[in-house]
Amino acid sequence: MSSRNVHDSFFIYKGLKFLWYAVALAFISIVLYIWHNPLGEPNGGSWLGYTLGIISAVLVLWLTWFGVRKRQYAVSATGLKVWLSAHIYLGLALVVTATLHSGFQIGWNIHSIAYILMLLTVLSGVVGVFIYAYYPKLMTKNRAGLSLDEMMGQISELDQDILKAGQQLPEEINTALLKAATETSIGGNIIEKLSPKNIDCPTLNARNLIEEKFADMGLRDQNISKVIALLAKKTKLLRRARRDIQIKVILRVWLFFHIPLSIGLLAALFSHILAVFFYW
Amino acid sequence: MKVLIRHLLKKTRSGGYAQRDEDIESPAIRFGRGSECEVHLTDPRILLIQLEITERSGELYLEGQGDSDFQVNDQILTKSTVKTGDKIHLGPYDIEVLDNEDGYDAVLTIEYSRPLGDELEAFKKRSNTQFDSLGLSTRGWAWVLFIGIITLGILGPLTAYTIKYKKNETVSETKKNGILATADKIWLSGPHSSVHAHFGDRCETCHTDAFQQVGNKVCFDCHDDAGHHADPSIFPSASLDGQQCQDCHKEHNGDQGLLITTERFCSNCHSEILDVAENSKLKNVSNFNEHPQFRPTLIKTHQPLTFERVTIDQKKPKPIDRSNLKFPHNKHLKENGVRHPNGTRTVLQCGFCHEPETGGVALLPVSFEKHCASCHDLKFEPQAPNREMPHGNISLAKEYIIGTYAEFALRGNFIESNTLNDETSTFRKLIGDKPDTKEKKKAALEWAEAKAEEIVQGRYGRGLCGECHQIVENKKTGRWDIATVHVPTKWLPKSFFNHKPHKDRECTTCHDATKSEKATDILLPSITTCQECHGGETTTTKVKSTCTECHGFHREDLMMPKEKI
Repeated sequence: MSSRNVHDSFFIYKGLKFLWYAVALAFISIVLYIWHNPLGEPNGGSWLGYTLGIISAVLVLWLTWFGVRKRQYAVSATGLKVWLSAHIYLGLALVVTATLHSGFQIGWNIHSIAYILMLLTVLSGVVGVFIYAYYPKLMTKNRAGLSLDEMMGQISELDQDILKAGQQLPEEINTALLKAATETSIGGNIIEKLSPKNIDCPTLNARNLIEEKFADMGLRDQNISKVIALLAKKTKLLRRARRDIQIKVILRVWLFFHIPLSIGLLAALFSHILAVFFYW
Repeated sequence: MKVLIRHLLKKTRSGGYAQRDEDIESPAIRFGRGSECEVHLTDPRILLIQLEITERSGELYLEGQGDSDFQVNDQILTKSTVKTGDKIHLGPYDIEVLDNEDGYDAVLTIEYSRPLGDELEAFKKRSNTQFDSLGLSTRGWAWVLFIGIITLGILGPLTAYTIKYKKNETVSETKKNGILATADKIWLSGPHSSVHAHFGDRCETCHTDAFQQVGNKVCFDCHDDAGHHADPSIFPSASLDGQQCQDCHKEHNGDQGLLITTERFCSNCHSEILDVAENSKLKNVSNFNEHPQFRPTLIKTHQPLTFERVTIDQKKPKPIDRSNLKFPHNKHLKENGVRHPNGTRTVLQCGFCHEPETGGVALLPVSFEKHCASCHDLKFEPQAPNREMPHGNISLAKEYIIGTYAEFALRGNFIESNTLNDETSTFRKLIGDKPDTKEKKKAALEWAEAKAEEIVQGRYGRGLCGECHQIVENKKTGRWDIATVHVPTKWLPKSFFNHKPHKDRECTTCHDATKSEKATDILLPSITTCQECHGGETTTTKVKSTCTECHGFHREDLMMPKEKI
């Protein structure tokens, strides 16, 4: 089995079954909604409204249970794949049932907070699905067999070589190289991790400096051409290391939204149900 | 030369160094990786022979070997003399020149300050490669959201309910202010209908008990005139007993749900009314396009007063208005006008007699004094041109006539007109003596009564009244009387009609008055006239008009017993 199949498996692994369940649920809900013609405006209080509400609430609880299920390592991984597949497709169907339950009524209230949180949770989940579908491949490709630790080791070794090769070069270069060796970092805060291209990188600065001001000296001074070559190697490694971190963060960051939003949704769902029956 | 090399090995807890001393005696002291070096440095970044120290003129002379260099006090050099206190960087090693000690040409410390791997460690230390959360962990943010929403969505509203809800409080007494007291506002499932918007955030006005649906009692506190739709003793299927107001009246949907205006709600039963109410006399209707012809409620008999509903376009017998009045609309609405007693002609419009009431919904009753009297005076005696019978009470009118002639007689101002040819006057006014004796007075009064009787029975009495009124013979008194007038205020009592929105149309568009010769004509338009402009709920080319446009649902005359509410 190729790596591609491993990453795609939750889409198709018994997934078509759940895709059809989800499509059927959404389709039946829409048909009933169109057919149902309640007195007054469509809302959650008609019999269909209550039915769709119950289905949606059960779906939310079941979808949230995935967080528990995926930590039950003892249960087989295959089972988890089926769960994930169902989680994705039924999560999408929830958007349809909950929207119809709302009767398209939105306001500044706990009911709409629950609805919006549901939409945001599903949206973050959809983002997660796309991320999991594409980024592991990109990560493998970017790493080209190296681990991040190995990349960092190589970068560090290159620093030594660069410093050594640069010792004889003019002070301006030396300072830049020293800075490149002692201040270059990868990662950083979450913004820097997610957009590494915008980082003010001392190594890149040093490379630019040398290439702009001292490139012609390279013809005469072997050290300069050596430094340029080493810096090019280092910046390439840095780019890959930062891309690696970026991908790792991307693989995590959607969950950082998906999970708190889903827990917030649970709270809003409880509040919504309580509110409806408290002030019946 | 003899040199003491002091290897600083490791920092101790007190801040000092563990050290190892090495005495070296050699003409030149070489530093390098090579085994031939006097000072053997193991770091791979050091060349085989990196540095050589010799003594020149009592000073220490340093010379880099091969391409290598070193730094003295941060200056990159290949050759240099050093003195006490100088600091030499040799690759990862730091060398310091100390004060001389007895028996040595020099004392040097050497420390492996930047061992291999430290750069990597430092690099790793500078770099934050792990996924770190924004301030809080995923779980932390989940808790923040959970607790925040529970506070907002449950704890706050429950607090509001607890602190403000007091049974038996009136609406105006309930607490209105404070964030906590209004924290349950977030439970509002949708906007109020505009008629209930004044309750604002005082949810407890209607939601009196937790976990209980808003009961009918709450509604009837204000809406105590909402009765049954049909008499439940005759039409049990239409009974509202056991129904909740909110089954139909949905609040919190703005103005959309509170009143049901869809045709479907009515046509569910009324499209096949006999299926649900076999005693019903109503015609089937499912939408305005199929609305049955109007069947105005007409007086059938006056004694006793009974009514009948007759389809307006029925040919035989034609529906008639038994108002007991005579009035030809066509004569009054002639294009060239009507003749005024003063000899001029006046063109009358409908609005001359039919004035709208203040709200414009209906029209005010026609008044004789206001609308008729300017042409139709009730004068009865040419010799008394200012005297008119009072209108509205025939007994008073008769008394007024007698009184008029009695006054003439008592003033002596009369003479029999038998001898006169003047038809306009029945007596001649003479200046004569006042009746001063009993006999004369009696004769005068007899004359007056006879004269009055003559008028009442004649052209200016019975004749004048009979122009507009039905005259009936009173069997008890044997005299004539005016039939009681019954001008209907509503032809269709189970509906309402608002004239105001129709004010820009000519009256005759709907009311065919110009051709009406008799007051018995019913000038109500046909349903087809309405249907020219109005259509049902689904019409796209006409005014959308559902049942509730004209009909109400609850009947005030069929109140629900209070104990059933």
